[in-house]
Amino acid sequence: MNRLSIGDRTMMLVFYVSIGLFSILCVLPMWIALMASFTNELELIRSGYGLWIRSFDLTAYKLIFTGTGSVYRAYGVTVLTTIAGVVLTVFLTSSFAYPLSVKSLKYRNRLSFFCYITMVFNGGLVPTYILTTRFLHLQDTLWVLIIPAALNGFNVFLMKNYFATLPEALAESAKIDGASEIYIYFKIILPLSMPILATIALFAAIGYWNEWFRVLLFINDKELFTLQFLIMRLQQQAEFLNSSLSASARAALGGQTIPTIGIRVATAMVSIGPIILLYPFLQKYFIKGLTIGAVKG
Amino acid sequence: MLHEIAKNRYLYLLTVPGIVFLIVFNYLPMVGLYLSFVDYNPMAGLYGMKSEFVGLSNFEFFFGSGDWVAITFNTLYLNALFIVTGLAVQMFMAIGLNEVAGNRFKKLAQSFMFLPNFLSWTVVSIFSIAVFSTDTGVVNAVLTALGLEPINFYQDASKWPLILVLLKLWKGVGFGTVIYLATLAGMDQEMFEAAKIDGASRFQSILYLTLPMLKTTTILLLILLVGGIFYGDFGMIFALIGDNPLLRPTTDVIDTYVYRALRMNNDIGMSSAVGLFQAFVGFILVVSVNGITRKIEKDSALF
Repeated sequence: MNRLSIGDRTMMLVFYVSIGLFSILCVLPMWIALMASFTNELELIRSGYGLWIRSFDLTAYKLIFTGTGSVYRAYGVTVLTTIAGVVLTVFLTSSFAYPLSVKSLKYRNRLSFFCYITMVFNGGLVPTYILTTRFLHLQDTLWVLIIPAALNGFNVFLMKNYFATLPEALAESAKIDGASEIYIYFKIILPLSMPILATIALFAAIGYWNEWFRVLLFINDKELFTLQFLIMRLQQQAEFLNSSLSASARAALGGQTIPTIGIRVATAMVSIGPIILLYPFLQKYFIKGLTIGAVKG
Repeated sequence: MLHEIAKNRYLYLLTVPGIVFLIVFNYLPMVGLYLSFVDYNPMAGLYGMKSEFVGLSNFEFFFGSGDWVAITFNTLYLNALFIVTGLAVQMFMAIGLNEVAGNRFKKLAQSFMFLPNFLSWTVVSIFSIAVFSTDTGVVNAVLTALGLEPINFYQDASKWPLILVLLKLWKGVGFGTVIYLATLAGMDQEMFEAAKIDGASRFQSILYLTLPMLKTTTILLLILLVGGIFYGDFGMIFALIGDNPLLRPTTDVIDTYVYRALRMNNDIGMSSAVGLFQAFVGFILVVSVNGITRKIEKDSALF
């Protein structure tokens, strides 16, 4: 390699250091939380969070897994809504986006426009809330966590762009051979679209797994809480309890699990477990999918 | 028209579920914008549709309350900070990753940087406490070890624009960097070879060749982001700050304000009015910025 100038070498140093530092910082908080989840509660209160486990203790995890069962329920809800949601999203998005990419379809631009408008303008929180609760009666059901999130203009945009890159000759020659449009879609187009379908499925899966806002708005039944909402609630309860409640009031709260630091951190770890385990796989696909979309878009 | 639909009936059939979905979940709520102009009474007529028309008084209530200045400022200010710092850092990281050698370093760095993107803000708030908490947080532990005064982050509103920007960067940079990297990967290498032969340093090549190449992507991203500048990141702020009134002066955005009005006071009228305000202004912004871009740099425009 040629000798780089002083300016260039400084620049490279800056790059290496910043990227290195930033990367470590990205993972550090999670590491600290992980360490804390395995640390004894009293030790945490006394010395705070740190880089290492000072006093190994599995109590937090034991409490979560043997306790009220709310974590198991939340896991069930989250997994169920994620799977159903991903299937619905992929089906809805691809079936809508494919015709938009067929150049011979006369009204496709109008339909695209119809879809894109929803990306720049919407009714807002209140009308959506009223629609979902008063008209559709979706509150306190599993459906409210699955259906409304399924279709959005951005995903349609990505899929449509991908479908447009598939050669028209494919569909043409199949039609000459007598295949119907539906056959072409299911047996030719979809199998060739695995990359984009996987990407959208991934986007959707992350979204569904992390869902808590819709629970906040539409769900009061604690059987239907998602994992992330559980964490949100633990945070709120902790805040509430840490404010000026007297000792007797706290005692009177009795059976409720008081969210100690350990429990909150451990629950957080448990909620992102699958994401971390699947991460190498997720990451590869995510990046591949984004680059397909970005280069075209 | 019927002839066209009949000819391609199966394709149009495929679009029907999507159309129905969009009508129900996106267009019907738009009808609900009329709620901004009435005094909502759920008892009046079917679903409260006969509620009394009150013109602009819901808007007056919001704008007259005096709060609106602070929360609108917070919303715009925070979003502007997010946009500017986000794009800058993403570009820096992407260019950096493109320049450094060492495949393993690159892959590892990217993996680490991308991870926070997969986390929900609720989990991030747990981490945030681990870092910024007054008695137990890591930052204060370091400060105390250095002999400095610990900072009471969760009770000091002035620190939070900075903290929010840092957290937003932490969580979002990985994502944007990938987009920029894709653009960089598509660049023509011959240009850089020629520049090197002409004696340009790497730094100069980046300044004069790489950056202009990224202009298109940046403008596209800017248009999309500016359209949302009146929408606060509710998920982020609510998860990180919750109901802490001490931090409201600098972190309360339009969306959290409206949420509180809706849940605490059940103020349907004002909440819809503000929602309409956001949607309307956002729409105008996207169209204008797109229009301006069309005049200057036709290729970058969205439509």
